Amino acid sequence: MTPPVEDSAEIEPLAEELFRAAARAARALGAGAPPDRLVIHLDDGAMFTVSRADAGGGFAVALQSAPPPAGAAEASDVPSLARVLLAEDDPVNQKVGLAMLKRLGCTAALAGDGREAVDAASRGEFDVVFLDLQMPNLGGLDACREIRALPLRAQPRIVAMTADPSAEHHAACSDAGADELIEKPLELETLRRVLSRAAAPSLDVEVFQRLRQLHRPGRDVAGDLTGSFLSGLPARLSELSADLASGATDELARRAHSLRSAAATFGAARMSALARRLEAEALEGEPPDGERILAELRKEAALFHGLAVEALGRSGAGGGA
Amino acid sequence: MEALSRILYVEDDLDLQLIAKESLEIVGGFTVDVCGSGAEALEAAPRLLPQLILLDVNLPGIDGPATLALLRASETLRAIPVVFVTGRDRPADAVRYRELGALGVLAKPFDPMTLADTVLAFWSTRPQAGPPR
Repeated sequence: MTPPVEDSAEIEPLAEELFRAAARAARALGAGAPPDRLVIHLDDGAMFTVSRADAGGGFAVALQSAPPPAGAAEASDVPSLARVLLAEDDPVNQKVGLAMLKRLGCTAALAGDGREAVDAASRGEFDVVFLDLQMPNLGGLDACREIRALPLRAQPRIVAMTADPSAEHHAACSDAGADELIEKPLELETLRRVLSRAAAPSLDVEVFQRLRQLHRPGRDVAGDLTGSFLSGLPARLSELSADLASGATDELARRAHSLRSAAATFGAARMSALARRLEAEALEGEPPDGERILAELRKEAALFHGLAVEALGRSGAGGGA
Repeated sequence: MEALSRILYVEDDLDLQLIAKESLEIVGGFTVDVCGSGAEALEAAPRLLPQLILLDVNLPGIDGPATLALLRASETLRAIPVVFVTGRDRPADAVRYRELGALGVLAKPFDPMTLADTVLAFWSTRPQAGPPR
């Protein structure tokens, strides 16, 4: 277990030793300056940082994240299948960021500088892009502007990161087109919040309202259409599941494609995004995340059902008009 | 100028069939027939004689492009303008589909309130005199 460390003097010899070892390792790996901050992961999931204090010497120890309670699952409001790009040049911060994202159930790709981040983002495969403001080759702000100028079908959510979240930085980030700015060192709770904001909505009300504008005298057109979609969903999902089980990837891709279009038409944006992901994977062969995506789709189907019925009810029965 | 009234929509997804039919009939005032496959469309088209065919690309069995080729091979059906409907709205695909002889590509998902206008816009670009090829 983790003994609390309060007395800085007590850990000083140990910390000196750690920093010397880290500096040697950094030299051996050809990294530039010796580190002035260490991140220590313990097997129980806790994480500490040890930083050099100012020139006066001494060290500061901070607990970054406590170990998770045994067996606890991470909150489900994080879109665990979100595709994340982490652009960060510092190897320690890279490791910490990736580890946190992994704990939240995301797989993240890594970019070592702003140029790499723009190149990766140009493939259009990311839902969220984390950009460190200070990176070599191309800084975070310039990278952000370049990503925003890319002709992507869907722009990612861009989250800038800095150790100095001053008002100036906030303004600059917003001018460059970033969605938000978060403070470094990263914290698990912040990442969780940022990622859940990036999720496509289970019901895009604006899209759904377009459907409700279809009127025929004496009939609730939107209600009928929605009812048909909802009653067909279980069959769609079990067909996808059967295709996945039998390895019929062509059929799986085709059916996922159908669901993607139909769901999007009803404003089931998150369901559509999941189906799109399943389609993309099935087009490549055996989908590596197939089961996970299907599980998410089932959850989303239930969520959408509730929201759609509520939305239909709230605006009154169209048929009586 | 010939006004558009009879449309055939070829789409295997039941929900998209229903939405497109309602939308085109309610908003556009067209008469819309639907077929669930390319084979069904080839069988029904000589009887329905639609003025315009909306053809899903991603059909099971005979896919959209193959269905178009078979329509073009038929004496009675070759002149009917075709618009592809697809979720894969990459520009390169649009060029390829036009080269196959389609008027253009309609992107899924469509907005039920503007679908009819989009279809009319494609209709206005059809070749006016004689068969397209």
